[in-house]
Amino acid sequence: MDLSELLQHAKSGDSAARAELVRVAYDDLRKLAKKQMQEERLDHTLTATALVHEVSARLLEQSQVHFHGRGEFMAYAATAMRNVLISYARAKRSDKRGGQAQKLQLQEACLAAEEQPREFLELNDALDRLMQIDPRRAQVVEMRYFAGLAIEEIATALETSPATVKRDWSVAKLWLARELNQGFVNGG
Amino acid sequence: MADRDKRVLDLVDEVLSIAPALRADWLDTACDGDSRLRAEVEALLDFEGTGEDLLPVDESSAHARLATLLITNSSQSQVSEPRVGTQLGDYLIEKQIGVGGMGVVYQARQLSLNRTVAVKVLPASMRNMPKALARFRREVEAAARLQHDNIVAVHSAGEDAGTAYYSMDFIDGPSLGQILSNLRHDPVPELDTRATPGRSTGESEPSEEIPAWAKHLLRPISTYESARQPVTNSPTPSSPPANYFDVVATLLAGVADGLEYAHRKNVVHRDIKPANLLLSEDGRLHISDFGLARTATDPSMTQTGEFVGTPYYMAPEQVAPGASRVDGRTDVYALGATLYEMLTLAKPHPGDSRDQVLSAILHETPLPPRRLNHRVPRDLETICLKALETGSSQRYQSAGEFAADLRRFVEHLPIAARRSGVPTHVMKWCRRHRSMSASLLFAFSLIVLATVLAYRAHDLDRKIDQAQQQRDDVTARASQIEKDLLEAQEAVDFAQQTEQQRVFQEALVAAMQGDQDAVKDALQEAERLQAPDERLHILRAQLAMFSASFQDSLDELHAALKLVPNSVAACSLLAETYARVDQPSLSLKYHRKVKTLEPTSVEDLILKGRMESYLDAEIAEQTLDSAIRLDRQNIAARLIRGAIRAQRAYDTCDAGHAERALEDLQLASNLLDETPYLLSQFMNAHLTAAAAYDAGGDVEDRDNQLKHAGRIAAKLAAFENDYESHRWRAFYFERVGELDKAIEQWQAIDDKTIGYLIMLLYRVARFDDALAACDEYGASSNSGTAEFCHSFVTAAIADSPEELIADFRLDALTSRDRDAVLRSTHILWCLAGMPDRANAEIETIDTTDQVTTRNASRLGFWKRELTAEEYLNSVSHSRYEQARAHFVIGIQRLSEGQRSVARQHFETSIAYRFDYSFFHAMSNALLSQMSRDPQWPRWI
Repeated sequence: MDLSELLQHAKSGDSAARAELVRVAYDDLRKLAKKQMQEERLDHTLTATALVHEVSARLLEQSQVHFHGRGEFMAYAATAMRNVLISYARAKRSDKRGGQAQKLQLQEACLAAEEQPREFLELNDALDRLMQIDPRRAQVVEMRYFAGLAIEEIATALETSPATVKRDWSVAKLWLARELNQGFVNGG
Repeated sequence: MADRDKRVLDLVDEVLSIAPALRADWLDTACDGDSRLRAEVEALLDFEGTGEDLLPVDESSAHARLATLLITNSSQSQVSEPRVGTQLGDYLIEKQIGVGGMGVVYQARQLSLNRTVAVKVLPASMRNMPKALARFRREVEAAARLQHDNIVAVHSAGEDAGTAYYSMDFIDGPSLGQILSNLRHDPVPELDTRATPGRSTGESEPSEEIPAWAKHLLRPISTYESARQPVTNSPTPSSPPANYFDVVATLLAGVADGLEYAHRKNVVHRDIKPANLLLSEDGRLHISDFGLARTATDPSMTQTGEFVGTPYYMAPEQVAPGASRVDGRTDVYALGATLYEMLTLAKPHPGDSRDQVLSAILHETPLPPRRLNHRVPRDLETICLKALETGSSQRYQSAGEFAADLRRFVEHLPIAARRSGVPTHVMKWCRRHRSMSASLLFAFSLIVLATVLAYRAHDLDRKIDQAQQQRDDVTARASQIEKDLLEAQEAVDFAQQTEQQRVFQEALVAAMQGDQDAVKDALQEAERLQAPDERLHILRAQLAMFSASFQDSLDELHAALKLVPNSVAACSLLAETYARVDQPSLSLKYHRKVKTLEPTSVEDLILKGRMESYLDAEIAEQTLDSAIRLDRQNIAARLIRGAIRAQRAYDTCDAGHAERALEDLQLASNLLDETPYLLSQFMNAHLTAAAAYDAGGDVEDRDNQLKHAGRIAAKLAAFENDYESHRWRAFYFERVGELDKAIEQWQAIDDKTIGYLIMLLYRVARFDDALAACDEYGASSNSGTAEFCHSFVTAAIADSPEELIADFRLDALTSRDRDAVLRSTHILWCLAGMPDRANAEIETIDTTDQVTTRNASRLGFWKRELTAEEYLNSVSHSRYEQARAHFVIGIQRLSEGQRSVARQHFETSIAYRFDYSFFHAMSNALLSQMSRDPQWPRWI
């Protein structure tokens, strides 16, 4: 199945197609990050946002879907970015796999994942729960927080208005704040 | 419930655009008297004003500081007023020490008395919320009335420039929540002095690191003198060694004293949890945060439905909609939950979502603590479970009784609480056995173990349990102190995941996924990491399995066992491998041995659970639950639990199990490649869910599941020449009625599942093809199945019983499975229209060996000791067994010439939809034949 087909399936609610798109984006992210590091560019401060943009553009190119497909790819790239960061934080948490962490080559982009992996993972868990309850708002958080995308970009990707994205963002934050403060994950 | 959560978020969205002053009215209308809904909305709004810093997004540098800020700012931003260094009435704010939904706690200096106190301030964001204010005032009122050694004393309340606050004793110590979290995350305190962020554990929690004296709680070290005396850092040689469980019991008895006192003053705390119990240096726990308390005289107390607090410690009566009254026994439950966590490091009702936890609190009983930590003294377990009884009338009727029993335990006196009686145990035992037979069918596509094995295993288990219990009781008193020295440390080691363990788990996943290269990689990495030799042997054993070098595999496992005689991993794999090479008695031996060993790591639990899944999916799932409790992110555990849940769903035809299986599998698939193994697990879960929805008449959900199954089938098509891929596509096509395609899939593989192929060919009247396939397969292996099928097909095309009997090749039915021989011969004689011969055959079976209850009832029916009705009643608890029973009854009715009755039984059997069982295939085949030829079989 090529990318445009996948995209179509994903749009019609096929979670397997979605997972596949995330996987493609994930592979691409890793590849890109690795390449950039190997070229030893001086400005190798690889930001998550830059990577997500780059990957979306590449996917768009490969898939030959017309222009507005980019926004959708951005959503998958954002999920992939989250996966990258989470696996980084996970490796970091166990803290015994420096080698693995090195392989990710994304240190600059994930100080949060590095410095407070446990909290980072808790946030991730909370977001997973939100995804169950309210997928759209959770997706906004994923794109905004994990991929650093702008409100307008998210609005385009999710085919909604910037105002709605902003409101979703506020509501989701309240929910996450409550979850994290309750210490629901590691509770009491 | 998810819809309800979503509704809460939508309401919050709307209310945010409304001016604060108007919100109360607006919510009145919007929530329409649903006070619980409203409370949930307000709980979220309580966090308003935490500002834009909550999830800071810096688009230029991405989320460089994001989580860091997230965690610290979510609490600090509530501190906007008052700031550190400012004065609040008589108090100089020194630093923030805790945050919760209902207020921020500061360490402060009381200027007039020059002493350190704690000051709790209502957050600014709540000030214009009358409800929050009222709650705050009530809290002060309630707390100020209480003066007790185990309760944080409230001094005075005040208001300064619109900021409401009150002052209380400053307890300079960590909360139990902090201690528990430290214990879980940083098991060896000496090695890790970082602070555990207090954020996750709620209010009143100092943010400093755990002081050394408090760490003594983490491990029972001999320097811990007594919970009632000041504890010093330096060991006093003369002091008697105390043990962890005595310390915990003594500490919590103190809390129960405090609760008893408060209850007598008509104050119920309603939110007892580890985070609210503060440990002071003199070794006492102080109950803090009466923020959720309601005085018993307050009318709002009887209006339940108010939804506040941390769900893990909530009593059922707090959770149930329209629940009965909350009273002192509610606090008893919460303290019981706290005790449980101190004993096991696990919540009594763990869960990933609020809904899951709440539903577990209402409907499930917690795992006995000794299942999680076998060193928990039996009496303490009894006490703990008594406090956690679902019905409040079953619990201790007062906190005082609870305290008294805890003290009796410490003093080695007989306790008042009793364990649940025998009937409960018997019921639980029966429940565990319900799904046994179906579990055996297709777990991990390995060879089936004889049911005899299962029964014996359980029988022996019980004996071993009894023996162990007696031994425990004898040794408990004698060597308690010595034993306990190691206890907490072991619990701690349990959760510790080393680098090598990770490699090991990766290998496990790879082995299940059939990825030989990945197992090789893992082995190399393990060698590089200089993993213990035992682990290397185990990895090599898994590698050897790929080339079906079972002997090599066994050799490696024995080598591992020689190095570590109590290796749960090695024993579990030995039990599995011996089962694969048809040595049930050896398999059983190691299965028994595993039962006597204590898992010491997550992967021990995973392998143990996988091994258990051959015998009892429910027990296996519980074992995996324990693994996941220790490591929520563990892919291997999720994958295996997903498979086990799918299996349970199949056993019970339960859509809930299937959906939960899908959750686990989805989680695993996010991080794994889609291999035939993973896809086949998905397929199983989807097909089972479809069957369950079908049984419940839920057509839409059924079709939805089948649609998913169709997508999985399309994905499986990418794996040509893969056994699982063909097998599951065959089941799928059969399920959706595309029998020719199903036949194609079976034809593509050369395997002993030949029976399914033959039955399908028979079903579509391709008798010649069916016979040819029997011959072809029978020639290449001396399979009883092929012989049986040959006779079966002959029955359909024969004109007389003589022809059929001439084709009987009973001698070839030399399967090791006595049950299969019995079934085969009986069925064939029935088809020949000779019920007497069929029954005579049964008489030759040595019944002493037919030990399982299922076999016994089937045999009883065949021997006419049981009527059909009695037979059905005896297996009524299992859909699977019902399906089988209907087939068995149908075939016998057929032999007696009662075609229409037989037909009805076959139809009923099929309606149970156990698509991948052989009797299901036979029922279908016979029904087709009877439709084609109403006179068949003519000789009857």
